[in-house]
Amino acid sequence: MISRKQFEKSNETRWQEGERLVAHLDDKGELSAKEARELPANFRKVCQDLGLSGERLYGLALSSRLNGIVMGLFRHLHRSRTRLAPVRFLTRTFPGAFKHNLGLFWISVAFFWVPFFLLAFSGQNGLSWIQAILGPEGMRGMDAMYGKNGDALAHGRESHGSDFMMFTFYIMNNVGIDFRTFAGGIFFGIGTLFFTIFNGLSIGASAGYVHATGDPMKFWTFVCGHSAFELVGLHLSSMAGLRLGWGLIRPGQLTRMAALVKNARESLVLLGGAAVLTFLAAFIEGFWSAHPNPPTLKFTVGAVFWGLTILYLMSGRREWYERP
Amino acid sequence: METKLDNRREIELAEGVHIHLRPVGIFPRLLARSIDLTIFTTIFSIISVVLGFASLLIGNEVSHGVYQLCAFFLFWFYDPFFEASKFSATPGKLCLKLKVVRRSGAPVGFGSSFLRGLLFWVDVLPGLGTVGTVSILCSRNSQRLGDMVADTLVVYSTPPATPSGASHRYPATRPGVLLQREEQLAFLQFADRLDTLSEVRQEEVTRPLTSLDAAQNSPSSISFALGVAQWLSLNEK
Repeated sequence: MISRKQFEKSNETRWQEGERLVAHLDDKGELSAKEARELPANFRKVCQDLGLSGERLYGLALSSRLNGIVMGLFRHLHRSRTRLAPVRFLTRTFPGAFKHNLGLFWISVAFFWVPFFLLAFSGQNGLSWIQAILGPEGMRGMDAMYGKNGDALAHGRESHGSDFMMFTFYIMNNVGIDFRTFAGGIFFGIGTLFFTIFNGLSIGASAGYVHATGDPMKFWTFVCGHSAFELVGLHLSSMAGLRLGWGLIRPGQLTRMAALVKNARESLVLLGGAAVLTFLAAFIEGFWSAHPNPPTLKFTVGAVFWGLTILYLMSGRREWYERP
Repeated sequence: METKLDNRREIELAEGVHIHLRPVGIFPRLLARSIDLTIFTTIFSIISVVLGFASLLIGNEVSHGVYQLCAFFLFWFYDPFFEASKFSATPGKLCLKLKVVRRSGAPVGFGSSFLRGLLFWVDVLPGLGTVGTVSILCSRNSQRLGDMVADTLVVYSTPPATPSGASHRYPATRPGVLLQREEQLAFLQFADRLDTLSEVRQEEVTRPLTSLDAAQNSPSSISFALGVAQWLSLNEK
């Protein structure tokens, strides 16, 4: 076994070269063709040196120096330049992931629509349930927008700039709700189920309240345009949250930790889709839903959007889904 | 036990070599977070003031809309934006020389750092970051919940302070017994870290060595330990 001094003397040039390359790459420098070709082999050689210096107990100073070089080169060799591929994501990855998780979709649909209809129909037998959910503040808002004398279109939109303001408000509010619904999945999916049920209850309560006291026509003409994207976005975000929780509940052959990490990657795809759809919904809600068009046109547009959404979601194939 | 006292974590790369990362404990991370919070608030107040003046020009609603848009992006994309950048760190982490890496030591991408940013809002639950704090304190690699999900670590970006390769000259001494690998390592690291230990501590650490026969010839247990370390490093010139 050679001594540390000899080891250092015979390899010093390679290490200095490695340190120079790391510094050069850190400064966003370009490598010459020759340097780039030789980089992987040099990297492996330094790795070998690091292994040897640990094995031969050459001491902390040398080991941590080599450790630094290896980490630096590793960082640049294994750097992932994320190429944004939105088209591929929207046409293949996301629909594939959706089909892959179809079961979770039906769960989130059930947990949204059952509370929705319960509350919406409870309005016919008295308002106590709805009042409990909406509260006085919420009911006043609903009266202002969809009451007999309410004006859905003017609410919060006194001038031209308000379309934009409402659009950004919907983004902030609705995409935020999506993200929170997802993050709740970490508690074994309970948080996600809570938000899903809660959303179903409050939206159902609004619908029931308008039917009982207000002008349903105003309500449905307002919501029909963006409902497809917004509700499907909600379902998708709760799918993503449930996916996250499912990894903890049933990790299969992995450890819970590994299952969590694997499912998180998958759920991020679903959440991406949810964010896109909710963005779209906010756009429509801000710039289309509040404009005074004849109800038939609005319902037609709403129906077309629902049809498009369903076709889009059905367009995926399970095997398109690429495991990250 | 040894691994628990040492803050270095050994990670095996695909190349078959082990590297060391040093995960960051709770206090530097809280400090970094509070710096970030300050910066965050400052940006917010600047935006509010600028938009407050701009509302005279572009109208109240538009400026309020822009404000909401900024709030949305700051709220959800502050962390990922900085962590996916070249520095792998938010400004607060950068101040304390910390960075976010994958568990393999590779830099994080946007996806991972967005994921850990999303779960930050779980980590602050139920207030003042309780979930995250408990999680950092309990997990072996000081990971908060978001780190676990995104498979990332927060590590020191600077290499550890290395001993000056001390030039203590002691005559090489044979230990007289067969030393295991860990024992050899202990001698060498004692010599490496000599400068950082107080006299009393040096004495305390080496006291058990006096029971060895070979140690009787040395003036003190400390010089015996250093002599063995010298002997182990093969009489370097």
